[in-house]
Amino acid sequence: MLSSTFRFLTRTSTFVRPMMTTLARRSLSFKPTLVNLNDKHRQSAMIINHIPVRQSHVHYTYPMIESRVMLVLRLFDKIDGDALQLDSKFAQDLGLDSLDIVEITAALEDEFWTEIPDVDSDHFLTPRHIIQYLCDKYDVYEHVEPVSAGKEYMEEAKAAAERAHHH
Amino acid sequence: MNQFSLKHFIVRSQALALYRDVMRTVMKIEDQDYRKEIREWARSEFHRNRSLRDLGEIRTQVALGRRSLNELKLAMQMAS
Repeated sequence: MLSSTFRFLTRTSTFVRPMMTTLARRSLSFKPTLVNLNDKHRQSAMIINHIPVRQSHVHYTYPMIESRVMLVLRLFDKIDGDALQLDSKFAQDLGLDSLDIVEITAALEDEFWTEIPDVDSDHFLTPRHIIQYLCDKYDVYEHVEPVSAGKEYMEEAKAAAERAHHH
Repeated sequence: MNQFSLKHFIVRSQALALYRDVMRTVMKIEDQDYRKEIREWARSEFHRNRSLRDLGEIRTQVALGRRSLNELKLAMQMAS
């Protein structure tokens, strides 16, 4: 009986297609079913009825997005890996045309399991634009400086206090 | 005055949309060698015709490409 449950568990995991270059691990969450876990047969009930369910959202961070985008770009055969920088322009520096941009966009869609329409891929001029677009899509703000409305006020107040102190 | 008109722009975006559909379909091919072969074939077809400027010719090529893409999708369905 234990072997059949093991086979069942491994079969459900094949429904999730493995991501090629994913660096973050998806967290498994075990959803308990309507079985009383406090009775004598607790051990066997837990193994049979706890079906692992993968969360649909991976936790996206800026370094993860950046490294995946640069990897996808490096794997593209028309891009010279040495010349590739965050700010190297596709058209001028790397010599790519619109067909190549479409191909890169298709590869990125495949990597990030998302859709990128043509209107958005028209604005991809450097790798940094791609990373910024994906950060906006997945609400990643780690690399952005937090804007404080009170910063200038604090500096002004400090300067006024200094002036008042010295008088 | 630039010789490219609005119709050229529309037809160009249609060709790019076709190329995008081809690439998305090609990504789904399981066999790596076959995928590379089809991708190279599609690339060469598009690059061969990239200097066309006559609207009628471009539209014909785009329609031919669409038909080829439908055949490719059918072949993939039958193979899986």
